[in-house]
Amino acid sequence: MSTSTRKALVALLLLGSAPPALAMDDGAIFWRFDGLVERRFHDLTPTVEWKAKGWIGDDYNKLRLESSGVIADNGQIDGEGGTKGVDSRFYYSRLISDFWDAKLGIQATVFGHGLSRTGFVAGFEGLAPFGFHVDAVAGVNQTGIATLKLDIDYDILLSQKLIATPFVEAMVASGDDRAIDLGSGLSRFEIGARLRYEFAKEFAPFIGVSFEQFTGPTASYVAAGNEPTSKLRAIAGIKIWF
Amino acid sequence: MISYLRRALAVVLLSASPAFAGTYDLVIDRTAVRIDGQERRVFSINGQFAGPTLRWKEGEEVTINVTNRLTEDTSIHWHGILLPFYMDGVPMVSFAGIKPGETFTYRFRVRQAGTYWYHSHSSGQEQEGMYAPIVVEPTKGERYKVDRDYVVMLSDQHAMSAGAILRKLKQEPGYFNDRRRTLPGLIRDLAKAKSPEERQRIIRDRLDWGDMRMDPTDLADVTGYTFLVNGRGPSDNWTGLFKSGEKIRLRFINGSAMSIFDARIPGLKLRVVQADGQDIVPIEVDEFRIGVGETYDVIVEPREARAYTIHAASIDRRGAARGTLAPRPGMSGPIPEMRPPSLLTMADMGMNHAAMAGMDHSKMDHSAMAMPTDNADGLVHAPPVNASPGERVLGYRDLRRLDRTYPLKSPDRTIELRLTGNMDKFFWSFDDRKYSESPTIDFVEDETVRLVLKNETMMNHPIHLHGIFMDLDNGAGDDRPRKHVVIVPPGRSVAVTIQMTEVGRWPFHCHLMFHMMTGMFREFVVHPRGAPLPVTTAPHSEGGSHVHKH
Repeated sequence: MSTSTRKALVALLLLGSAPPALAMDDGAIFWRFDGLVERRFHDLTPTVEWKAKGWIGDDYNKLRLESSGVIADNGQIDGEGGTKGVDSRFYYSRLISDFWDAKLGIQATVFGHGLSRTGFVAGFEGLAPFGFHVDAVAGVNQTGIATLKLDIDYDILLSQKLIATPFVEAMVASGDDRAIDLGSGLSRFEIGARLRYEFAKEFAPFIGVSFEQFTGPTASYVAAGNEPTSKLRAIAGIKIWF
Repeated sequence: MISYLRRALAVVLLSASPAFAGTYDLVIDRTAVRIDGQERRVFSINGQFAGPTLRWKEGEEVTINVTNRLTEDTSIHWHGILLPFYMDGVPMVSFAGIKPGETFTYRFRVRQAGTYWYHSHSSGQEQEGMYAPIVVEPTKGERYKVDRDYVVMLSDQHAMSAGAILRKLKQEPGYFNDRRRTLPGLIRDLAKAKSPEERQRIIRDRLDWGDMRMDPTDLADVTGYTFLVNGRGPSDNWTGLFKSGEKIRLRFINGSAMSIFDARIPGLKLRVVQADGQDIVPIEVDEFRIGVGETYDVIVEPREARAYTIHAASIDRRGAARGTLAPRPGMSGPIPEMRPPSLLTMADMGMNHAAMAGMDHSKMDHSAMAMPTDNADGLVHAPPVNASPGERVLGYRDLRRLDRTYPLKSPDRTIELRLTGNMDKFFWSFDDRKYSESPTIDFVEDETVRLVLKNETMMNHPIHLHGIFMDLDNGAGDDRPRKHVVIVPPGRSVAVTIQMTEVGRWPFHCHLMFHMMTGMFREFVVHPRGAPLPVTTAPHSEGGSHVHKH
C-alpha cells in the first residue's frame, strides 16, 4: 500500500468514526403562510370571509394550521347553513406522492349563539393532473355526523400577472345537525371565479363572482331562518402569501 | 567520495524541498462591490471579486492558507483537481469546514495541468461570489504558444441571497418562471396554425404538459440573475486587449450557481483546445455550450483591429454575460441578437406521439415516462442551440482526448443512477433518494465502473465528480475525453467510465447549487484495496437502481 493510500485510509477511518455526515438537505425546515380575505357583496347578507393557511416543515412532514370564517356585517358569525362558521384546523401532513400530501388532524368550528363543533379531520391536498389544486377533507365531530368538504381551483394565466381562478366548493354531510342548520346529503356548493393581478407574486388584489346554492334539508333550514338559499354575489379582496 | 557526497547532498536537498513549492494565502471576507452600477455585498477572496487567479505549475507542492474572516463557516474546494480527499474541501465529507476566525492549511502536490477553478462548498457562498480561477502550467510549458492569455470566468449574481432564493423555491417552485404559458398564447398559436392537424398538435401538446403538471418554459429554476464575466456585469464590459494578428487563449470557466451558457464571439472562429483542463484534439466551432463547473480553453485570432463581443447567453435566454476583446480599452462591439431559447419538447421528456398512440394518459405520470434507451443518440448530445445555418456548435461527440499517457479500461461492472426530483416540492435526488436518505455508493480502489446517468427530469443536470476524472462515453472509442463535469440533458442518458484510482470519499453531485443543496448529492466512497472499510450502506438494495456484473 502506498503512503498516500495509507494516509487516505487513516483519514477515512477517522471520518468514518465521526457521527454520520450531516446532509445538506437534512433537517431543512421551511414554512409558508397564505391568506385571502374578501368582501362578499349581497343585498341581504353582505359578509367578509377569510381563509388562511400556514405550514411549517420539511419536504415530507409538515404541520399545517388553517383558519377560515365568515362574519356578517352585523358582526355575527355567519354559519352558512352549518357549512362554514369560524373554523380552525391543525394537521400533520405527509408527502405521499410527487404532488400529494395526506393530512390528519383536529378541527374546531364556532357557529353563532355559542355553538361549536369539534372533531377529527383527515384528507388530501395537492395538485391533480392539468394543474387543479385540490383539497379534500373528511371529518367527524362530537355529534357523530361525518362531513366531506371539497375545494378545487384552477389557475388560468391571462398574462404572467393577470390570473383567472375558477373554483368549486362543496360539502356533504352524513346526517342532520339541526342546531347549526346542517342537513344530510349535499348541503351546499359554490362555484365562481376570481380574477387577480399579481403586483408581486406574493400580493394580488382580486375581483370575482360567485354563485352559492344550499341544497337538500340544509336549504329548508336556511330558508326557515329567513335567509336566501342561493346567492349570486360579486366578491373583491386581497390574496397574499409569504 | 566527492560524487558520493554530492549525491547525498542532492538527496537531502530534494527530500527537504521538492522541485518547487508555493505558498498561497487566501482570506475570505465580505465586501461591497459595484456590478453594473449597483452595489452588491459579496463573499470576497483577498478582497477581490471574482477571486484571485491561482497560477500553479504541474508538479508543484502547493500550500494554501485559507483564513475565514466571516461570521459563518466556510470552505474551499479545488474543482477538478486531483488530490488526497481530505484536502478536497467539502464540509462534513472531506473535513470539518473552516470555522470563523480559523485558518485551514491545504497541502497537496499538483499532478495535472490546465484550467480549473476553486469555490466555496458551504451554504450559498458560491452564488454570492466565492469563486475564482486556477491555471496550472504544464511541466513542459503550454502546448500552444499564444500572445495573450485571459481567463473568462462566467458567473451569475442575484439580488437575493441564496437562502432567500431557496426559501421561495420551497414555498412556490414556479416563483421565478415569468414565462409560463398563457391562455392568450394558446389562442395566438391556434390562430397561427395552418391546418387542423397543427391545431390538434398544439392542443395535444398543452394537454400533455398539463397532464404532467409541468411547463415547457421551465428551463431555469431561478431567474433574475445578472450574468458576469470575471465579476463584471454586461454594462461594466470586461475587456481583454489585443493587437490584430495576435493569438489569444481564452480560458472559459462556468462558475455559476445555476446558469448554463451558450457562448460565442461573433466574427471569430473558436478553436477549442481543452475541455475540463484536458487537452483535446483542436476543433473549430462558432459556439459552445458550457455547463456549470465545466471549463473550455479556446484560441482565437482576431485579424481586424476592432472590438469583438464575448457573448454567453443563458440557455433560457433571459440574459447574457458580456465581455469584449478590443485593441483599446473602452471599446464596444456589436451585441448579438438573443436567439430564442430551445423550449423543451415532449421528446425531451422521453415521449413521442408515434410511440404514445393509444397510451392511456390518465395512467401516465412523469415518474413512469418512457425514457430513451442506451443508444448512441441518447448517450451523446449536441446541445439544442438555435444556431444560424452554417454555424458549428460544439457537442460532446466532438471531444477527443490528446493525452495518451493513460489507458482506457473496460468496466468491471455497470451502475445505473437515475436523475430524479420533485419539481413541485423542489427537491432533487438520485434514484428518488436525497443525500440524507442514501448518503454513499461504495467502490473498491482500482475497479473500473461504467456509470449510466439517466435523466428522468426536465432539467439539464451538470453532474460533477470530485477527485477522479470520468471518461465520457461519447462514441469516440479510444479517443474518449476525460471530464469532471458532464451535462445530462432532460430525458436523456449519458454514460461515463470511471477508474477508481483515488481512495477516499468523493462528492458526486449536480453542480446546479440548489439541486445539490436539496439532495442531488452522493458520496462515492473508494475503499483501499486489501483493506476495505465496512461498506457504509447499500443504497441500491431498495432504491430501484440496478447493479450489473459483467
